[in-house]
Amino acid sequence: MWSVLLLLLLSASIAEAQIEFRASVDQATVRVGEQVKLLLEVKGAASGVPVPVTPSLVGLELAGGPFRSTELQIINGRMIGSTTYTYVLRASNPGTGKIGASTLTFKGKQYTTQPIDIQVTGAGEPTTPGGPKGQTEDVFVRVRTDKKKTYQNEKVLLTYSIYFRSSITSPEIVRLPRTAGFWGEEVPLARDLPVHEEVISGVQYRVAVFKQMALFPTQTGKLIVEALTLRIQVEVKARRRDPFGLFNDPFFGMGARTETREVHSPPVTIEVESLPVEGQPADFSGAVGDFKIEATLDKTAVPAHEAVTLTFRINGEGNIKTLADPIPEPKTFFPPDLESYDPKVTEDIRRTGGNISGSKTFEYLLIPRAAGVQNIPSITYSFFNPKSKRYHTLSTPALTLQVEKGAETGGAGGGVPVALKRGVEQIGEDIAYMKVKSGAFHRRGVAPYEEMTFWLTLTAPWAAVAMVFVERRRRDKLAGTPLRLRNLRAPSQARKGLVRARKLLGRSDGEVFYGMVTHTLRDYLAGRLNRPAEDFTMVQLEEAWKERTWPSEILEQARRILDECDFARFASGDFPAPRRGELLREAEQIVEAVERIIATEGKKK
Amino acid sequence: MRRTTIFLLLLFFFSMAATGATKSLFEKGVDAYRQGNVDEALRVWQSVYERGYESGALCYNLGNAHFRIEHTAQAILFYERAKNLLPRDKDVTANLGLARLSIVDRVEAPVRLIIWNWVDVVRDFFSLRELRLLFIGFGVLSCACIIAAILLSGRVSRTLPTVVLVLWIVFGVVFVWRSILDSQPYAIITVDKVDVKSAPDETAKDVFALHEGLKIRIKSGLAGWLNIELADGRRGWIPAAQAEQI
Repeated sequence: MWSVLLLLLLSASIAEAQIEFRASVDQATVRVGEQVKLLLEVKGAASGVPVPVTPSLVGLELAGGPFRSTELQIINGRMIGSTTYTYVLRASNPGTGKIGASTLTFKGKQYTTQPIDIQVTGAGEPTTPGGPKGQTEDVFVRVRTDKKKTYQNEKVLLTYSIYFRSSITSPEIVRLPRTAGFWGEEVPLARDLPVHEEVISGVQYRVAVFKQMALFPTQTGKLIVEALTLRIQVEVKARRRDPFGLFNDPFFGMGARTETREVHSPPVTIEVESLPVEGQPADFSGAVGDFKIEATLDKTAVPAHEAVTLTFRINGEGNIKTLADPIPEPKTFFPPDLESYDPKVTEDIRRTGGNISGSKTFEYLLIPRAAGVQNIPSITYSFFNPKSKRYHTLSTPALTLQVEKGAETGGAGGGVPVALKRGVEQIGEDIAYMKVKSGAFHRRGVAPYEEMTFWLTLTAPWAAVAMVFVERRRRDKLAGTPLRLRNLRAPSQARKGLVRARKLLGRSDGEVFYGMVTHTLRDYLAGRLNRPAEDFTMVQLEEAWKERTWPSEILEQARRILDECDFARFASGDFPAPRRGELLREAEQIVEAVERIIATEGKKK
Repeated sequence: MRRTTIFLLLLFFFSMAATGATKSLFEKGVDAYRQGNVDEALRVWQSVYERGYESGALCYNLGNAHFRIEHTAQAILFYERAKNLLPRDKDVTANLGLARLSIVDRVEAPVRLIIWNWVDVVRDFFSLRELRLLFIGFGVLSCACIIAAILLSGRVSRTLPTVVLVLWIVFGVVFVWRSILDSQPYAIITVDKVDVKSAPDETAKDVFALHEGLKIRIKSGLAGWLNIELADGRRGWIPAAQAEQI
């Protein structure tokens, strides 16, 4: 509280100590012989202001003055004085008249005004030869832009001000500027327009801002904002030859009349640059300004077939209205089990103090069609910040939606009815992922047949075969008789022997016949049993027989025949001819039986 | 004899150590790729390949890395190499198919009896390395059967040895066939465009032009030039640097 008071006192004393000293003229162009009023204004001090030094004059001469007038104003409870010294000057020579600086010393401090140039024209010439036309007029409109060069979609603030010297009433905008290539946004102003004063080339004007517009260029290149037309009632005074010009003041209201005038603002050219390509994110969609984004789901758990709303809210300052949808392709963005609809877009734009801020909301209606956890991936949104001249990328967190089994899925098992089943949709195609396991490494560039190991492993087994074969032959030779050969030849040899025996059947000496039968049978059996024929005794026959599983009846029969033959040969116990024939037949039967056995064994294997 | 044994043992251990280092490099590449650092993965795998080692997975991964950075010709080249080593791998076939989509040239192979396609399928079902293993394996089995027959002196059945011997001959024929085919290898065009000349000479007439990624057959070479053949039988010469052998 005290500090506030102190501050007030302090500022009051500063206001007392600080004065403002200004020079202005009522018109910047005059004809020779006409008068110009020079006003030297001292603002801020109520009393004790000394008369300033009369400025030096070139091309002009002093016709009267200085006349002093004082004005007192009470603003915020403080008294502020203003003293004006009026000099009446007459233009004497055509060309540029110069009013030099005037100085004033107040409380030990020196104040100086700016020199002023006056255009003095010849007697017949118009008063407004060159120069900006509006400046010498009583009323004109100026446009100010906060920047001449801008990026696409970056805000440009246009401020329309009216400058006037005469009093004006009922201003009315009759034609708004055409703003092709822009998206425009009106900036609301206070109801009563604040008026301030401004000196332009020495002439004092009162200035009021009457319109403000924020423009967002949607194209690049040189864009033109066309003229605005303002219709106003202006008080004009009759120009009288008054040597002092004192009575021209509207205060006196003498000779004043109103006139309707249309004032045009100059067109404005704005150069729009395209946004920098360097560093532009892939998802950039034209947002320029400063934004924040948030994503929310209105429910985190829903039954299937019930709608949820996913809301993206982009908040900030910039081209709110032209912000693009954060999800350019909803079909591929949402999981296939989430049915999505076109978003509902709402804007909320605030226009305060020349700033266009607000938010744009995108509401997606989603209907989950299957139970389970549905993941809504995070999205990124990029914007260009013209202040930092850089791109920024925002991202929202990924959201999950818990979907429970819906009430009316139908079907006895609670599953999805066949009619509602869909094929698995292919959303994208990409290469298969890398292999994590290396597999076996091999030296490269060596053909398989160029490797030594190949030839080794190819030939070594055959060498082994050859060795085994050679060894087998050697062993057979060592055993004396080629057993295998004898084995194979045994049947035919036996048959031959038996045929020969049959021829001996009728011979008187039975020994030859019996010897033939014994030899034939014995050689045959030895051969078939892989035994050497020499010393093939009964014992060996039995041993060899046991190794096989041949029937023992045949063995018995063979033994009997051999015994009978031996009996007949060595004990001279000859048998009658029919018995010989029987013996021979039995021997044939044995050979046939053994052959049959070997044949069946061969087939079995 | 002893010295030879020691030498062979040393050789074996050295090769084991080399294979271990190769494996760890391969895994380094896998980690880099998993973290999204494709360039690093490519560099590491390439270094393994340049050390003179290859495996089907290595070639396939190199193909993937090249594909990611949009080196289509190199990707096709490595997928083809991977296919030679892993002929029945579905990933390799699928990725090769995707990479081939960007090939500009369309070469129509002449129509032939469909049975030859089946023969090709059978012939290319195994990699050359697998064929060698089968050929050797059935050779050893055949020999084992013959030795058994000799020792058991005909008291064994003939069916099994016959089947084994027939398979040995079949695999032997396929192996030799494939080895002969490999002596005229395939190559991939690695530059954007190559003018095929009628002779191995800069001033020779242009016969036709080929583009990146196309598979061609190298018939022969001559002083920095390759005599190539397309699937439709057209022949010509290209500078050797503009294609890389699979």
